Amino acid sequence: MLTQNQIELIHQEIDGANSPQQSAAFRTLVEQNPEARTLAAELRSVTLTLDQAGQRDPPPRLREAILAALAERGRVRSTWWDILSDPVKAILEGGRHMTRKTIFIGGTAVAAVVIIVAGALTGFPPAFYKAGTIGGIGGVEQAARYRGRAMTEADVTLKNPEIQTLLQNEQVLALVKSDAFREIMQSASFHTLQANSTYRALIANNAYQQLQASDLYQQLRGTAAFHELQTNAAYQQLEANKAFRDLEAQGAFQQVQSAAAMHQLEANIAYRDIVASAAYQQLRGSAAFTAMQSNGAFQRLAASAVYQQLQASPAFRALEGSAAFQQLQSSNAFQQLQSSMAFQQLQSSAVFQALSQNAALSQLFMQQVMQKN
Amino acid sequence: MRQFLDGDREAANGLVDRYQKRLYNLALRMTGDVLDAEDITQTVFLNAFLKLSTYDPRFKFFSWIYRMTVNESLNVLKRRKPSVTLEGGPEMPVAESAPDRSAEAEDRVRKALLGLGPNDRAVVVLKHFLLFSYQEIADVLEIPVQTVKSRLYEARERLRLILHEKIEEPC
Repeated sequence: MLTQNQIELIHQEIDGANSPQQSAAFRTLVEQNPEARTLAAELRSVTLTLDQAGQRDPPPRLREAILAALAERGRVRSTWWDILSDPVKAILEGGRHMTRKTIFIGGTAVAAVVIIVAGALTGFPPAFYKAGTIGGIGGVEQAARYRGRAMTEADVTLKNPEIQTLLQNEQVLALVKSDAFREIMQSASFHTLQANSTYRALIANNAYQQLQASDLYQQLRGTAAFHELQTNAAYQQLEANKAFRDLEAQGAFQQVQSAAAMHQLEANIAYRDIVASAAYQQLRGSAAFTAMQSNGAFQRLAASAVYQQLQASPAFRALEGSAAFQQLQSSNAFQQLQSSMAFQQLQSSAVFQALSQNAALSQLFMQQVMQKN
Repeated sequence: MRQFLDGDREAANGLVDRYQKRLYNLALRMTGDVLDAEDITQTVFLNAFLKLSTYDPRFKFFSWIYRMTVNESLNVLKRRKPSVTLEGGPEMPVAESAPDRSAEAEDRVRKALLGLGPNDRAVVVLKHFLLFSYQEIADVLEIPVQTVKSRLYEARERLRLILHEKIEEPC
């Protein structure tokens, strides 16, 4: 029969509230006492069950309903609110602001008005893959000459002055004749990505170029766990959160093994929110996440400015999670090309960008190149 | 906070953004009902606004607003008819893509929590869903830390028995 003190020791250990001495006493207790061991295991199972339930997102209408109710009280005012609230005031004033029906109708009406007005004023939502933008990262222009019309086979000839200029560079010529380049030019993933304006914007971005050139990234992109993590939806969702990126950069999710670090982290409200989120609850069951959090190279990469900058971009995260990007990143041939200056030069060429979006034109280009002495 | 006290709309937006999810989850876990949780969250923000004059800035704002949420949840539970206490409310929301297993787990947690007394449930929710420390729970509920511990341990013991099916699950 366990004493009250022993039961309290077990509960406190579960809560991470024991001192190092108490934790040592706990370990001794569970090693020596089967009843204590069973209780500790079952209580851990209870806390795990509760943790897995996590926090739920409130319905979007709730925020609007709260703000509408506050505004109705007449003390919280703004020009924006006055503009947006007029059409729904009649509905809201039809009953008390606290009824569920009113919340639903008023909240939905406010949301609809907000969307319509915001759409009219800002043009939002924009096309996701709008040329030259990847969520705040500077982009590149599409091939100006071929904009507005499709590039044809007639354009892919050594007589084309743009192609001539390109191939006059001996390093570029050597590159395009290499096995690695030929392999990539036959890759459907490469054509898919080249046709993606977000990807083209990305390859022109300094942070991305630095990331690709970094030893850490080159080391990690060959690992299955890294790939798996990058395509994990919960991870992508969390990477959108700056607090998560900061905590990850500090190795916070690895530190939870240590009771002292855990106590420190528990005082951090952002950490609590993250840990309580449904996305984190999904992610923490991922072996890839666990493996990466204890991987020194990944920790250093996560702490790097370029990784943080890129992960802050929604478009980059979307791209990173795409099958084509993953496939290409894990290709040895592509890795070889990525480290080549000539390839970067080629990638920045408008004519190459235009032709490489199409498999048939790419093949024709390669035939032309191979005929050239 | 000062700006909110002065009736600034941007500050009000900021406070709603910062607290609505946590208050909603507190109310949701306390009542097990999404519509009650919405009502409670809205009521709490309105009451916070109306009772600003009674707020003492020497104390933490978060303790004050969480305390109001717990109290409002307890009021809602008291007003409920016993026949609808456990089964009357809509199901807990589960992520759209979540498999059935997740919905089952969610339902299991909901029922287990409703098997606790409201005061014990408040301690469990603050500890496990909002990740508060013993001291923070004591501040919110205005009870001694030792009482927090004893309530939490007793509640977890009961949850252990419910979840491990050593006693009958409440409905």
